[in-house]
Amino acid sequence: MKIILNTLILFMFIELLYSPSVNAAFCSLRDPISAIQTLYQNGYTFRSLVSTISEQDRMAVKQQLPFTIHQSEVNRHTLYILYKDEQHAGFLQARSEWAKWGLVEIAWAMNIDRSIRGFYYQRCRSPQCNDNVVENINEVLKNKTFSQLKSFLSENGNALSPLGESSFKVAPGLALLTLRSALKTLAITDISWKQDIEQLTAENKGIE
Amino acid sequence: MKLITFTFKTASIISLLYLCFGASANTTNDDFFGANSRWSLDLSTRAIHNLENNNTAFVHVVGLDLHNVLSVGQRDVATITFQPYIVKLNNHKTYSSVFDHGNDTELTWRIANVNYTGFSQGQFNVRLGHFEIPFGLEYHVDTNGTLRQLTTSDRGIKADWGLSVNGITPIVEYEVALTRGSGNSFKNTGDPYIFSGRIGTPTHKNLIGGFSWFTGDVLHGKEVVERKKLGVDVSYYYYQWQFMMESSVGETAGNDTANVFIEALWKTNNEEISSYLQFGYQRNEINHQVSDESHSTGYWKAGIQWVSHQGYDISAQYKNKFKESSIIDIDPVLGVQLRYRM
Repeated sequence: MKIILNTLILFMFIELLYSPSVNAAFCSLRDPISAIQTLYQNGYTFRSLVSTISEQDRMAVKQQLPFTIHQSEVNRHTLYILYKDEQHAGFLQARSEWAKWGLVEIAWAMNIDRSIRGFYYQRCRSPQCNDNVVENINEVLKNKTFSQLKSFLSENGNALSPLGESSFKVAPGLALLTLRSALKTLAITDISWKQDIEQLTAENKGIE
Repeated sequence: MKLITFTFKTASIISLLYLCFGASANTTNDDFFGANSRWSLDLSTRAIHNLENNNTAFVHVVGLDLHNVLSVGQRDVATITFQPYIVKLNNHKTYSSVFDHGNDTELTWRIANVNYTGFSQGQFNVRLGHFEIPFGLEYHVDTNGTLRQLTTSDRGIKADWGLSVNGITPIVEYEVALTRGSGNSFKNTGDPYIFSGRIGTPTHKNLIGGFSWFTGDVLHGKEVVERKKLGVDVSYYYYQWQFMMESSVGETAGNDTANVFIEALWKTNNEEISSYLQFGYQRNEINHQVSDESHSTGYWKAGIQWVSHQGYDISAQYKNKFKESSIIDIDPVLGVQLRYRM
């Protein structure tokens, strides 16, 4: 009996070395209520779709961009589906981005065609993340699609392109961080929630 | 020997759970507890060394952390949080009333509640079950299972069974609760209760403020103690720094009390290592029926925590007094904790 149990314990620890984990207790999880209220305002309802972002998904983002999501993000994540008047009206997802002073958490509102509707800093410990900067960056990103957003970025993804530099005059460093987050969010949404999005599109067509 | 047996049995149970459910919620059985579920096993062991009496005590913990969101049609209607933990004490001279002796093993509840969000999706929710008392800094800082604690000891209770209304609006976050007053177990001895609440500014901002209250009869062992408190808290985040302050005044068993808590915390830019310094000060009236004489005491704590992306969490904390009182004795204590979430 002891041998069996010891084998099980050994098996567990070997497996653990290869399994992703979460540090924060789940009681600290918060829905992005403020972000939804700000970016979608009244008349909308939402439901959560939790999905697993896998290592393969992480690699798939790398096929589309010169960078990918952090390894710690290989885990369970929530995509919020927004509805208005019983019809699918958009998406919202919160994603984290590393800044030189720590984690920045950005909630992204996306239109049905996965263009950007707007964003909201859920956590940004720099005083630079103020309403004026948010408004300036939002103005440039609004309604841009994945390929349009990519044109603001240099080829290696580490800097703004000349177009990006001319578009983001205010807080270009923060704009670059936000832009990279937008691209990752759009990419991972299409990859990790592919089946759900296809189903939603079919449902919407059925209503029309 | 008992400790080895306990550890062995615990590890065996975890192994079996692990084999049944998969390595974690992220692998093969993602939806085992529901489509929107997340779950994790939480293991920790803590050593607490009292430098005054040279005693070392241990706390070993194994728990399940389950989170699920229920949706109906086009809306989320409820969030379920379920955290049963088995706690084993070893060689404790003093212990909470949850335990029968200093080597006891008990099933405890950290958080176990359903928050009904179906009324207005976040602005007005109703929570039922076991949850943290909404008061002060604890409202928006997660200290469950960590060496780092804030001001719970001022009130003598961290979480309780009951009902609350809570919500988030663009300008205010609030939670108002009516709870049993008995902590981990639902007991009606002495008819305890707590009416508590916190109303504050949005917690995603870099400057956060709140106003809290706490009134009721709290069950401690077999006796209830009347406690009343009014508090204010302020938090400010600046790059890698976090500064927090909570101050409260009130009464414990009719005696006036005043508490001040201050913390400065710094994190590395990858947020793996954090270190903090805390100061706590309290002034208590000795016996209001005899005189208005009071005594005061103060402590400081210094701590460090390393959190890896692989789920490991190693922390250490040292506590000592900076102001002595003839009534309350604060011994120098060193704590070390190893935690793993999978």
